[in-house]
Amino acid sequence: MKLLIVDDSTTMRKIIMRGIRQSGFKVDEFLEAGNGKEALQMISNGGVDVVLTDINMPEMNGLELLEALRSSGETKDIPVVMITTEGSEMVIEKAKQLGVDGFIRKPFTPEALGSTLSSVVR
Amino acid sequence: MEKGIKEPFLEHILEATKSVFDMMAGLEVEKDQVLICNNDKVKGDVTGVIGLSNDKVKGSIAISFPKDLGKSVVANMLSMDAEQISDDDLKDGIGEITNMVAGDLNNRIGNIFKLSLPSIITGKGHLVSLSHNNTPILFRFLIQNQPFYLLTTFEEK
Repeated sequence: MKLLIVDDSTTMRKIIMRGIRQSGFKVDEFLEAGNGKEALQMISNGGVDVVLTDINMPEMNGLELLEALRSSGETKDIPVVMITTEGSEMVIEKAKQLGVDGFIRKPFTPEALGSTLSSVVR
Repeated sequence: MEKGIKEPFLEHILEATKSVFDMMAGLEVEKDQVLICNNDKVKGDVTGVIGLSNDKVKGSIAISFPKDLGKSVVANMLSMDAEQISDDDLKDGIGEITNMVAGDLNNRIGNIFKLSLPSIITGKGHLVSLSHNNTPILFRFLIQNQPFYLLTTFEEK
């Protein structure tokens, strides 16, 4: 299981990794990207099994990343979970329309991370 | 309690703050005092500031820590020792806490605000002030008997 964490905060990426480890959800390798553009480059190298992304980021935000992934035949089936403080119905609806697989709201518990990831990984 | 901010809203701020520290750092926050702060009296070493606004109302929240406590909080979030926390980790971590407190507050009140990106002020003993017309409300919180501060004010546009 190769999991890509996309967040412009290095601290938040570390917190998410810590939480996933605590949750017991098994990850063989964590990859990290600071925005959607970096994430797309890493995903194009292949092997990413699931993406966990923030929404509000510079360069390319989480919704733009999701849209790019869903529009390519090679990446359209990669599960994407959004982890964010953003709670507006408009943004959530937009993400659902684009085909997001799950949402985690900050602040979160390790259990929320583990259960959401387990539910989206096929 | 005050013209610009109603008491239930202050309760939401309190609950959002407790929730973020509990869930993200495993730390229990105690409310020590809530004051209407006529003068800008809060000093801190590292402060996160975030704006919340909509068509009718704008406001800010500032959360300010002494450096040692800020490092301890971020260390707890990362399961590290406080000595291992760099100044960049500290700034990034306090920015995330500020963002999450504001985001959690916004969720509790129905996502009525748009949030700005948090900004971070550092410097030993800097004065924390918010530039609005209404008088700020000051929360004095304790973590393991060490104080930190949340300052907030809202006003109609």
